[in-house]
Amino acid sequence: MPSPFPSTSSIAGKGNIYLTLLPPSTPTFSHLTYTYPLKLLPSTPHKLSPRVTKKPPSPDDALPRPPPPPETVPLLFLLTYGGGLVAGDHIDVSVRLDTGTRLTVTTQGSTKIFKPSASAPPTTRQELSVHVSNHAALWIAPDPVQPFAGSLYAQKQVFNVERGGSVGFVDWVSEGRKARGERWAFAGWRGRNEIWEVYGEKMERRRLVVRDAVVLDGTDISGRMDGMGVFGTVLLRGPLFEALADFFVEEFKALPRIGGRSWTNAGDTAQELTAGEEWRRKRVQREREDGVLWTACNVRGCTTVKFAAKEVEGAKTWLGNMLKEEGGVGREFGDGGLMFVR
Amino acid sequence: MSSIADKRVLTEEIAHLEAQLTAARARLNHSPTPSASNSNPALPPNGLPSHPLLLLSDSALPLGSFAFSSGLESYLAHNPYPKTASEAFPHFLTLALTTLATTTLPYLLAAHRSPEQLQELDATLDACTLCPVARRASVAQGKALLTLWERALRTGAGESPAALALGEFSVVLKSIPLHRDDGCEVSGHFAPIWAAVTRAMGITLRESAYTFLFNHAKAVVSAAVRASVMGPYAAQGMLAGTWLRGEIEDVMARNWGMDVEDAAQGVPMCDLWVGRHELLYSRIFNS
Repeated sequence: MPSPFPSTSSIAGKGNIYLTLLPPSTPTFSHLTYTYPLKLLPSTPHKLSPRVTKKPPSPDDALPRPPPPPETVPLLFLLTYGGGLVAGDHIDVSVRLDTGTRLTVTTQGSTKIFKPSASAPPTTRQELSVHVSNHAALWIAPDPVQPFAGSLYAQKQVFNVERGGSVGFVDWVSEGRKARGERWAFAGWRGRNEIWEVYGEKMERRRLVVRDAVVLDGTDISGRMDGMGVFGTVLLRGPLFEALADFFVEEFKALPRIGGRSWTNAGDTAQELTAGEEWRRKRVQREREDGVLWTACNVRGCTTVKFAAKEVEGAKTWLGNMLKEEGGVGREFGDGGLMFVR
Repeated sequence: MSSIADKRVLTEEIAHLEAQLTAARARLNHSPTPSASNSNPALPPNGLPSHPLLLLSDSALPLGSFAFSSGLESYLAHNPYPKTASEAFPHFLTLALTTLATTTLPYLLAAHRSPEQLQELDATLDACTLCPVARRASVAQGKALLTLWERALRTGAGESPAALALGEFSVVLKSIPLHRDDGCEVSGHFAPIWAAVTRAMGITLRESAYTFLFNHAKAVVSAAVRASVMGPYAAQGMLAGTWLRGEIEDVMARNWGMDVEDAAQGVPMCDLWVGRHELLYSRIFNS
């Protein structure tokens, strides 16, 4: 059967982002260009307080010390005119982060994917190609993509990461316009995320670390989603996301067993819970109420978190709760990196 | 890109011609004409179904497939109320087959068409299999099949590019230290090894793919029997029925032309059910 995603030939909404470090440690956009229907809007950067690293100095002095963090972390809004993309739109963004820089990318509200009209090519495309240098870090935290009934959408994000570079992103899709009774009523949704490790003297070699791909097309997409209203993935790689990655994996392991029985009585509160345990108890209870299901695991040097919830709000609450409790994103990338779960 | 496509078309053509040649030779050898002295009156004119195919579709094949429920156990634990298990099962089986066909079938097809690419395909499939429970199931069965190939099937299969690729694969697999998460390029995933073994044993592409999916369905149905979802007669009825056949043919048709790069999870919820299998309080399966 031929692919339901025919090629498009319309004008691309091209974007180019190149972040460099001016001495001593001031990040500057040496390139920041975009064409319709894409808009890249820098906002107030997050100031990083100069601080001593938490880890004690390594006894192994042979290891080169990482450079100090940059003074600020720019915040960039990735916007589209009208808050959505029509059929045939092709967004193509390229990002390059020089050594020692950090960048937060977010959106303002969900990216709506409109239904094709008769004239335009039917598929809406978004492509992102990223290069993260050593000691650089990128956090991409958009609102979910919201494909309307009948829409056809394909997304591809390729992250080329040098050893010592960090990348973390959230990629999620909702069922559509629930208020209008749309439940996974789009014609097709295809998403692919790849993390490549680049190495070699001139960074000319690369190795596929992970490829996370989802395709939702054909009939009865709704039946496949088992009553969920939103589904997403968080991928984390690199030293700056290590603590967050471990946090997700540890919290996953600490989830209550499914089908297990609680042997503690409701009135039995003799056991004092620590603040962390109390937070977890409340979070797990909220997960139940919101129908949140999630997994986290570390495979091939990347941490993959998959989640689904009955509604976008439930997923937002859960994700925000996790990210805020761990605190790394807010500290290292600023509150802009958490706007998407507000 | 076009050269790869051309190569694939050519490879397919060669495989097709080879199959025709083999069939023609077989017809010549088993010619039912009275003049042929070696004709076997016990065999029908078209020959019996392929012997290797019968061998590889046996559920007693020592691959350990019985240990995996492919998410069924977890699915049932996550959906205890809305439907009774026997009603929910066909739905789940469709999802399990869809998942396998969208994520794994392209690798099977590619490895059967070009067995010399076995190592690259295995490495790419490893990068695409992000759920540890699914990885365990795939690698355990893949390695078991490779061992079975080396110890039992290889001698009868003769020389072929696929047999050569399997030999090289095995050397590389054994030369790397075990339990290494990073830097290990060859893992031994089930689908590419299945493809190479079936190719080496002369099983056609379509038969190989169909048997792979049908074996998967058999494993899930068998898991359903042991999980008390259905009785053994209902299970055989489901395996024998036209419904399952139609489902397998449907997922094959829908993913037949899919490139390896486009393989993707068609049922994202399966990743969650399979991944959360580790959270089950009591388990009778490994996945």
